[in-house]
Amino acid sequence: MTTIASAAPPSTVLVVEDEVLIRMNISQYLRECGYRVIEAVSADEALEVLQSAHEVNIVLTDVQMPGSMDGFGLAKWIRANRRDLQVIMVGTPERAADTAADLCEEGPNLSKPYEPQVLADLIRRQLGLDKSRKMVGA
Amino acid sequence: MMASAQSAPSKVLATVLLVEDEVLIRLMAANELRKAGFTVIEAAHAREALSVLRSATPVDVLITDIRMPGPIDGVQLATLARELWPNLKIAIASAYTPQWPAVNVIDAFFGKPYNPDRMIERITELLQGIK
Repeated sequence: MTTIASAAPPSTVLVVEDEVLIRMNISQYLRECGYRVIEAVSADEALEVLQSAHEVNIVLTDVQMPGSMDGFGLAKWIRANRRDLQVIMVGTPERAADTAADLCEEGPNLSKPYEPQVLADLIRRQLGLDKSRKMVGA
Repeated sequence: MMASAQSAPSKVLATVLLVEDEVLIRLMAANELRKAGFTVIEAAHAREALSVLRSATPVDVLITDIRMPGPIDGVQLATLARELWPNLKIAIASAYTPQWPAVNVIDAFFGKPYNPDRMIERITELLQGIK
């Protein structure tokens, strides 16, 4: 298990996933890695969290979800309204192939099923990238 | 982040399945339970809760809201869970005191809004065998 070694407060990951057992496992894994995790079962719930006072540093969202908005819709909302937020999208390979252009446009993505460690590494890289960008701009 | 003021449930490494359809309320209640030392599994409605209970994941305590989207409400979920998993501790949390067709089904009732200290205290008691 790799943990995030930092004196800084833990980063918060918003996990948006409508399949409860997947959400449960990945959320638990990320908590064990040292992240704070907020769980949302839909893009609608994710929007509610993002519009609240809760701090979120990175969003992991499934592509296909029921409700008024899917993962792409959520990623586009975030790009329009919360450009500070990193987004990682997760989808089936078929879906990803269908919409490769969109995925590329929206950022990094993972195909299901994925190893939790791969996701944790990706999150760490994304958050690291974010910090280096801030340093460059500082 | 400092540890919660209330004492952690010593020697009780219990898993709580929290069933609540309002995300911000679920988030707050789950965070308080985690700060007290519980492992918390979050479910947004009864169908998710049943998926968890039917999986290999051990669950010690079920806390469920009553009014939720979907065909099964919290009272029905509690009744079903009591029948299928008799060792599970079951609590209902609701703003409304329900008309009990199933008063013997649950081990605890929590009014809403949630009072985390009271909830944690009562869950710890239940896990220690205090009725």
